[in-house]
Amino acid sequence: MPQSSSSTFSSEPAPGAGRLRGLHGPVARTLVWTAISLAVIDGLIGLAFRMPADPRADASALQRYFDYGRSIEGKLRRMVGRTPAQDAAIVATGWLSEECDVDTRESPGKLVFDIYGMSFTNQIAARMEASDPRLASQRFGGPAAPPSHSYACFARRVGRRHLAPVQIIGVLASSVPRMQTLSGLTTSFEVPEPFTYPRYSLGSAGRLQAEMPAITSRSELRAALADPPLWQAFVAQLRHDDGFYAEDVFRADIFDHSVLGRLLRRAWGQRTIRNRTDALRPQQDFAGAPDLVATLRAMLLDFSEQARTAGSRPVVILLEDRGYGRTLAAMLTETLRENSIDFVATSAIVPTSDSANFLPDGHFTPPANEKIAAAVLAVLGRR
Amino acid sequence: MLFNSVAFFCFLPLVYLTYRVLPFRWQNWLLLLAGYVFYGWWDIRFLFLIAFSTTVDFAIGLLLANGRIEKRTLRTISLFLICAAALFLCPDWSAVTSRPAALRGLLVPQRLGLAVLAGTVVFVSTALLMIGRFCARPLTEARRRSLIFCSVLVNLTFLGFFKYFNFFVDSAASVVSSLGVDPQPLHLSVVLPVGISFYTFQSLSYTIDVYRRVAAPTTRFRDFALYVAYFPTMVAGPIERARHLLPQLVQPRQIRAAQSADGLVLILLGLFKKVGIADGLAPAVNAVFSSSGAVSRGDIVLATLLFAVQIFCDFSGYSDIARGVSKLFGIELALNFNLPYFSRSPGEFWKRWHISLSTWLRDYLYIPLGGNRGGPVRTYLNLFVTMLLGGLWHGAAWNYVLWGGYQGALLSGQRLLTRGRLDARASSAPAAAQGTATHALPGLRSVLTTLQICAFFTLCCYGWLLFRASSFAQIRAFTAQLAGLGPGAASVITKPATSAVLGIVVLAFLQVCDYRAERLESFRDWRPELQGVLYAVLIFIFVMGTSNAPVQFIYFQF
Repeated sequence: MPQSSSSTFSSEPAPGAGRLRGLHGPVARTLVWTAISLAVIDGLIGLAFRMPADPRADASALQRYFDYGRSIEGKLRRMVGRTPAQDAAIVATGWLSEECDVDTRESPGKLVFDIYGMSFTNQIAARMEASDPRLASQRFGGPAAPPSHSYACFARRVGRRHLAPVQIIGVLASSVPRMQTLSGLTTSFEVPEPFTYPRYSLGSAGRLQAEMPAITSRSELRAALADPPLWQAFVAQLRHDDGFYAEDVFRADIFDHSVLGRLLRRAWGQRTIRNRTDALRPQQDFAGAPDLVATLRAMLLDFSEQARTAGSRPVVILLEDRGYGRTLAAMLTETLRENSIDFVATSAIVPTSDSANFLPDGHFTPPANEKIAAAVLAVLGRR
Repeated sequence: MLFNSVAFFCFLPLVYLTYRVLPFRWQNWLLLLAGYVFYGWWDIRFLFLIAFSTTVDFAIGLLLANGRIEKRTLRTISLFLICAAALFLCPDWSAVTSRPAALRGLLVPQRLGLAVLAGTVVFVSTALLMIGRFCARPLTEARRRSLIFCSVLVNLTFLGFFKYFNFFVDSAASVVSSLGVDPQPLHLSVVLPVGISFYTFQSLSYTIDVYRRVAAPTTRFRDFALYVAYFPTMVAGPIERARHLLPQLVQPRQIRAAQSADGLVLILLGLFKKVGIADGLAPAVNAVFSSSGAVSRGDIVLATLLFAVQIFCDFSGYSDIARGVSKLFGIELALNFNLPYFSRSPGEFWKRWHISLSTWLRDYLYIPLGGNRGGPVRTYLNLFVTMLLGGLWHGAAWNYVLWGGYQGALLSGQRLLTRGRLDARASSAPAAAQGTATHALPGLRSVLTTLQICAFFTLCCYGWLLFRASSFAQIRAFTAQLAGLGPGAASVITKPATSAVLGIVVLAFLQVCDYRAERLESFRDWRPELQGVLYAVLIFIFVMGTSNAPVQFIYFQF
């Protein structure tokens, strides 16, 4: 026999009681106090850990923590000042037009090498110089720059009058997914990096073709932020061509004004990026993105060919960071060997399975850098 | 589906609202369907395993009690099992949920799927024949024993195959190869179905209880299927008993406002523990335990302490959410954790930690082995064997066996040390003696209790080191380092997430309040204003934790 659900919520109004108690009882009072307390906590933390008004000032760890979830647009508008002198330091880094349109410096009596990449390659270059005083490096890169940034930087320099006899490009495993982006804004949404770079793909004839970003310099970025149509055009390009663009993470909205809102957006943003990265590497390799792998291979082959044509020796460093095992080594070793390109795979020297090789911020430890530098030096000394 | 996933936050309100508008008879159907969706979310093929356990144990329960099964019931369960086997024709659940284009795959029969379907049809036909012959003869004790043997065999064979096959084969291979013989590799690519240990034990407890005549069998297949596949408990417990859960499933339920409020508070507490604390500690713990190089003593101590907190928050957080969700449906689940880190001895710890497992092991393993009825030596042996198997239940790896052995040794050691005292107490007036000690020096007693708690917590933490270690070599290296015999090493531990640091402070405060009040969730007695502030803090820390990298519940792998 069917029986009706006898579920009941016993919250009868008590005669003569106050509106709150009468209508809802202790449960409702608790709920109201929860809401009030949340609002107070939100407001107090927002006040106590407000970011400094001057973007050049250092923010404390907790100020940054509670600001990570601000929209990319919100953070960008805060970090870009009216003049270059008023910009946050990160705004100045990584622009191809400012970093790469330069000759290699003359260093008499020294073997000079140009190295393209990011902080990982900078640290290795510094270790190489420290261990052999006959070496001098010129470093090109941006924070967590993807191979497309390094390749674009090299391509801008290759036609120049003077190029170092050794050209080294560092490929960081965790930066490979960023080849689907046009700037460091979308993937590093917690601390967005405004610099831009082309997005490469393989054309029908198997040749590399570049999609150029609408903004290519710091001055253009400043102008766009002050000019809504220009800004909208850039955002529209990101929406269309940047594989990691997410509207609800990028656009400034009411969530920016609440600590809780920012925390929720941070979680959502991380989830979005994690899902998109996981889609590219379903089995911890990049099997989900065969086009990406083919483009990376083509980039490295073109890099070595152009370097050799310019009379330089190409070297590739495959930098496997935490959580990537030997993804790059498995993906690229064969290609590099077949084309006689010298390379160093860090997974064979400082395995990612050993957390002792990494600093808490994800970089290699100094001893690990020393081992990698020694391996690169050994490759350079081979011929 | 994970309790802390977006999918679950959509799933739960949908199920709850539908549940509220349905009449009772449809509520169980809804919960059963919800259970299968919840579980099938991982992989729809896993449902076949649950269906198999459900069908076999339901049929054996009826045969144990009545010696026969009605034809209509037989038809129903046979059809149910064959339909469940047909799920194997589906390549995977994600094909159904996320890639409509891949739905074509549903129409292409897989070789494995066809084999499972054909095998199931053969199994069902054979079982029907055997049941027919079985029902034709009177039910004797010997025949009942053979029935319970069948139930245990089927359940443990499934568990053994999916969870332990590769473990035992690999272990045997390494033993053989150590003798200089090169064994042929027989490693199967078997996926461990989520929570198989939990629902297998739950289902098994039903048939054993019916065999022992301490529980009546249910005659409605739907209710038994729901007992096995009740979604709050099915993947990580609490391991429910038929005597406790089944009566609640077969009767109409009243959902009281206080019960629902309790449920919501428990869900919040569970999310706070899991998302705010456990997930925030995981990277720091992993940095130490995944290091293949030398690790400093400070790192080992800190990581082990953090793991003790992580595993407690992870597992008790899951249990809290399970109990909370169940309360929303008007169903009470067993308590699984009762302030375990306030234990003063191993015996007390196992009365407070994973209570549903420890009582299961006591009732269905320790007591059948003889319990404490065969003299001291036999008791120690029974304790040791029970805990050893309890350790193996946690996972197919030798470090779990070692952890179980360690717990068994602690329990036996405690029993050995307190045996004289127990004997003395048994022959004197215990209440008077205890009362005198308590009233004479209450301050001293409190200090002694604190010291006992700290001493046992230290022992407990070493157990967690064994549990968390990734290899025997790591256990040796870490133990040597703790003993001051290891090499010096740089620190590799990372900073725990801010939410975890704040969360531990709040949790410690709440646990001390509960311990002093001798009542769990004692904050429910606070004034509504204070409760409101507390809930706001818990919500805030939970929201902070949502940006910690999500980690699967540790006990899912068991």
